[in-house]
Amino acid sequence: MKPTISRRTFLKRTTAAAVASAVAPYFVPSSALGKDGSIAASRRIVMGGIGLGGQGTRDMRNFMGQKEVQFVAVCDVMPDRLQAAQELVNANYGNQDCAAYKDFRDLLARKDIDAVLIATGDRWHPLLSIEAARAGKDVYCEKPMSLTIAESRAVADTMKRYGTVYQCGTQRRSMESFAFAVQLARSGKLGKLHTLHAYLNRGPITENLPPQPVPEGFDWDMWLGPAPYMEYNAQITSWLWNWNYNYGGGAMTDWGSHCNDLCQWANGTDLAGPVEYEGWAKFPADGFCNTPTDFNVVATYADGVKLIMHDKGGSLGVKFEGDEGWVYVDDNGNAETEPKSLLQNRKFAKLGWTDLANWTGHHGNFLQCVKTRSNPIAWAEVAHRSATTGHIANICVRLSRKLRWDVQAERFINDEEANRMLYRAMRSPWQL
Amino acid sequence: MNYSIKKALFVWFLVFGWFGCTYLQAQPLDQAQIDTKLAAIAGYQQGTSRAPLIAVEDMIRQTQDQPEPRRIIRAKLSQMLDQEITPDCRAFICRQLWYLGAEDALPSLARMLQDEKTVDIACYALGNDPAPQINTILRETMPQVQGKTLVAIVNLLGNRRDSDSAQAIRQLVSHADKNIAEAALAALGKIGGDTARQMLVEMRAKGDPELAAAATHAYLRYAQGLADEGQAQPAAKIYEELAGPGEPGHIRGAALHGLAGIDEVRAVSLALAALQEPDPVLNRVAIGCIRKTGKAEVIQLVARELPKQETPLQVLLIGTLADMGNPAALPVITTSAQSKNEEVKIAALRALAAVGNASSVKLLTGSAVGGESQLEKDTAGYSLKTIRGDGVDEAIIRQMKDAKNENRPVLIQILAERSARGAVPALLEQAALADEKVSRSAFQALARLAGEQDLPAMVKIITSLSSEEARKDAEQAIIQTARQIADEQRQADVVLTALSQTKPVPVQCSLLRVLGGIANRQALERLQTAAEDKEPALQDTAVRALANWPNTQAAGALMKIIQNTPNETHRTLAFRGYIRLLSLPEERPVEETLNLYAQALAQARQTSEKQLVLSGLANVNHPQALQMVQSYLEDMEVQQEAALATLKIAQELKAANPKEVQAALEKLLANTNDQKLTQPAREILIEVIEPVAIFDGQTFTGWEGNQELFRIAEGAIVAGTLDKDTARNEFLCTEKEYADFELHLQVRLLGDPAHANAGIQFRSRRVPNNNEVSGYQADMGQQYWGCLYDEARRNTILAQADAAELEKVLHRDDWNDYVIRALGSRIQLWINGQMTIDYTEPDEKMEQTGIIGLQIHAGPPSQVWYRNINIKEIPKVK
Repeated sequence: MKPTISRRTFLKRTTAAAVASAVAPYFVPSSALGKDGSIAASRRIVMGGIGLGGQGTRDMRNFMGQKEVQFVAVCDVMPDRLQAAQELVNANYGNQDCAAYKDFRDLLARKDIDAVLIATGDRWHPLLSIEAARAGKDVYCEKPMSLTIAESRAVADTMKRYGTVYQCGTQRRSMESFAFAVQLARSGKLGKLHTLHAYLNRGPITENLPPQPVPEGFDWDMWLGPAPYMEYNAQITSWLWNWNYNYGGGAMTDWGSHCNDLCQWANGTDLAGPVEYEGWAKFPADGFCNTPTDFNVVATYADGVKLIMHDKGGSLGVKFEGDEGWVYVDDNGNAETEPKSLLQNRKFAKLGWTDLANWTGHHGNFLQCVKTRSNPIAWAEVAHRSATTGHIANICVRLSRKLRWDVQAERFINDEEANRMLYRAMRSPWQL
Repeated sequence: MNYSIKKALFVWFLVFGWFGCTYLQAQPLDQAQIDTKLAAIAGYQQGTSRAPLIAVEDMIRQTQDQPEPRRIIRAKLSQMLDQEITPDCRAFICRQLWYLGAEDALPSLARMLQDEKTVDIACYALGNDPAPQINTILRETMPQVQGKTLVAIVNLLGNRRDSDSAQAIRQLVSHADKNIAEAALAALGKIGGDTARQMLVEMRAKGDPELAAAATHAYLRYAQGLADEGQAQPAAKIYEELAGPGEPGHIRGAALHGLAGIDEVRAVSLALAALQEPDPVLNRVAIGCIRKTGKAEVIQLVARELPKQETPLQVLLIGTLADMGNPAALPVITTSAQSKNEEVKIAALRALAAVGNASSVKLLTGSAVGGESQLEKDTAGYSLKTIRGDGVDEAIIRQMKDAKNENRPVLIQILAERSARGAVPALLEQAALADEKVSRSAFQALARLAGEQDLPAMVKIITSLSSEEARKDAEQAIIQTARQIADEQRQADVVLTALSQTKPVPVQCSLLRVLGGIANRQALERLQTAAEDKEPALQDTAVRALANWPNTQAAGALMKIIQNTPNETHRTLAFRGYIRLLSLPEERPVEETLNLYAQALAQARQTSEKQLVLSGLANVNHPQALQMVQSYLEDMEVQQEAALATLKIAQELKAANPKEVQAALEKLLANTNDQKLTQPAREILIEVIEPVAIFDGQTFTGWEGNQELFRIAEGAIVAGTLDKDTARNEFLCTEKEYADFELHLQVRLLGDPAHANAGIQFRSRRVPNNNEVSGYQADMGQQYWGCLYDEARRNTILAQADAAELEKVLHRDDWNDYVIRALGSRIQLWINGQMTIDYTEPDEKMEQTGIIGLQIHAGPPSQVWYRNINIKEIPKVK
């Protein structure tokens, strides 16, 4: 690797940018508020949602719970989910105004919609994010950002090109417990960081899934969208898609989207990434799922810091180790530190939002940025870099060899097989 | 586990993890193996086993370091594309060639490109493969296909940035099939070059709005490509064009963003103009464009335009300037912070937190104390706490001093939150003022900011304070400050000196309270003296301070008070304090603790005092503590506390001091019938009692029953034969009755497992004039092993063992350890160390005492063996 700028300058620059990205805007303009704290309809952020299963519904509820949002449209290729989402919105507002679309293009064509929630499966994330930006909408898109590195790179480039406000649904960035751990690492209280642990989930093993008749009214071809063709089976659409490389990235991009992202953030490298990956994985011996059940991947940054992806299962989380201490945080908000006294810092953990009174979580951060046009806490460029760590971990274990990564060129060094895996042609007519 | 061990384990794990692969790598693949594995995938269909596919994937992974086998696998996979294979197998092969490389398969893939059914998966295989002939093949396929097939090929060529295809693709931009035309436009945007530019310009000008929109998006993409290549001027020209009024808002906004990357000032001036247009999409993207710039010129530009904007835009722009953090924005934000428009004013006050400096303090303090609304006050206060820079603290101090008394507390609190240590001299001045509110807030701030050198001044002030409330705050501030002194012995010095020179009683009381907060040896001595002072107020203050002492050093002083004071309140306070101190965690020999408790017991007069001591003693794990608490088991007033303490200590000591525990618990059982106490007592007791054999291995001494059927062999009691049926149930019983006990024995049941059955009766009795025995039975045989049965009484299984768990430990044809524990209403069974039953008898009428009986069940030939029969029995009480 022959960087055009010195690594030190590069890191300095990326760290500064990362800090900038972590600082939320100073205020929500009070002019958006009416006299009684309610929001004039004309000043609300009008939203539509695409792909409204479990997580999508949770996201939509969160958005509808914020008074500056007006949800007006929903879209899903599964008729029952579409109807349930529409009923949920209508019940929330006590009217019948929510439109329901089977085709996302009809939703994006609506001029009144300011921002979209994208909570389909991974295969649709990059394409819908890009289409929404091209239609002038801001984007809250669930994690993981993409199925390949080329896709998330294209998303980040497109968001930049259109000035789109993009928030990746890595909402653990906005949880107090994780922000506390990140702040400990970033403040130097752990000394010089040397190891970052990402405790991820484990892939399941299932039976093989034979073709089944497509249910009435379900647009299976649209469900598949840009991803490789397979015959319909109900279990694929429920949740198993995440564990087949045609449609998902397994644990590396499922929980990896959160934990790797937090490690990147803690390390001040969320606009860069590790330069070397090495590890192993055990894949299911049969069945529909083909992502690893067991794995361990060690990714090393240029300065020797290690990011280790573990197949933990159970309560997942991160641990940051420095030469003067460590912090461990799990998803239940539990934190352990060494020395124990570091826990006393917890009540001050507000990294990324200097004013808690205006902080309404990950969704609120997005809405605020929609108004102020600053970068949300998980904006496209950092989300792309975090997604990249998971994608490379997958490539590393699928090829079963050590990989070296050029962080600036975003290509593997001397490994053409790995470089071919950066990109996947989409099924016609879809393209980025 | 420390890090280096973890690391070592991890390395070991890595090596082990790789071992699976290296093991196979050690045996090179031969052609026959490859052929066999590949043949197995030819018929793969979705829903059938994926094992053959996985075998191929594993084989590919195993050839990481073997170029030749890997080349062969790739070549053979490629050949298979021309053979009779299922579509699912074909897709699988293409997904392997995707990364292995497609060059061996090009002719086959070329054919697949022509078929709508296979074009997608062929493109998948070709994907990112850099081989240049792939572009040629794609190009040559174009004229032969149409519809979605053609779209797929154009998309791939676009993504491969194949400039040689631009000419061919440009032919498609007016294609009747809109999908094809749009794909061609997008591809041209990615590929770039003059051909692309001409076509995009042309198509943007043509009538069809959908195609014009697609061409515009491609044109933006094209401009981005130019900018990335360093062709700033041509790119800027396109952006200027697209930022013009003829385009939709989001395209204009995107163009502004692109332009900002080339010429910030030009982009921002256009963006400011765009803010005037009634297009919300354009407005918001324009703001984002400004935010992403940062030159001082841009700031000036925005500052100039700011006052001309509508209120909401002013607010947004002020926030934008604040986030940009450029000090050049300070003048316009300062002006805005004095705006008559409240929204603008608030936004600017908040923005000063980011861009303000010492010169902003006067303005901010004005709003913080004299703001028209609470929001204005809070916002200015927030900025005062947050604002950085040289001289800010000093400026706030000056403003505080100049402020009216009523406004000072707000500013003093801000100084405290800023950790402004330089404010201490000013705060000492304020603390000495007669104004109670000012004085209190100053002391509250001093508690956070003052240092050891400030102590004399603070103590001096407290002696002159008249307000009781202010003195309370002063006491806390002095305590906090004194405790910063590194040499603990010296922490109280200043206060002690002041105390010796102070006359007024209330002030002396304050200083005594301070000594209680400092709580070092010197403070203790002084308070002990004060506790005997003739002045009641001083005495009372000192006793209370000693009773709240944070460590055991005050125990002696408190004991003295307990022994000597005529004041009942003081005695109670001291007693409670004394027991509290003993329970604090401290490095102290347990003998000393016992001695301290013994002194307390000797002094305890009232029931409540005894209870207090007993509950404290419950935490002392020592035989002598056990001795002390059990001596109160007969004292009805405190029996409950004594029993609970006995149980708590017994639980801790049962392993180390079984004899003492046994004696104490037997005494407990002798003195109370309270189930809540006796049941736990029995459960501990049973663990410390020594077992006794109730079968000597040779004779039936102590047993009665049918001695033709029951016999003794090999030191065991045996019943039944393996050649004859057993006609009826028979029992060999103890002559003695047992109530609360734990029975240990070994049992073996031979014969047909489907029929053989036996069991152990307990708390049972013989049915008069009958062979049967009635009562509880720990069952054996068939599915009843480990179950609790009610024999010849309720005739039902009272509790069922978990069969699956039991099966893991049970030896059906061999010896098993059986344990039966019956304590009060609770019955538990274990087989080979695993508990099978934990049952509580709900029916109080059931006998809780009776004989123990060994059963052979009627039925087909079977034989039951019992040996090593030992019992731990809790003696009957009263």
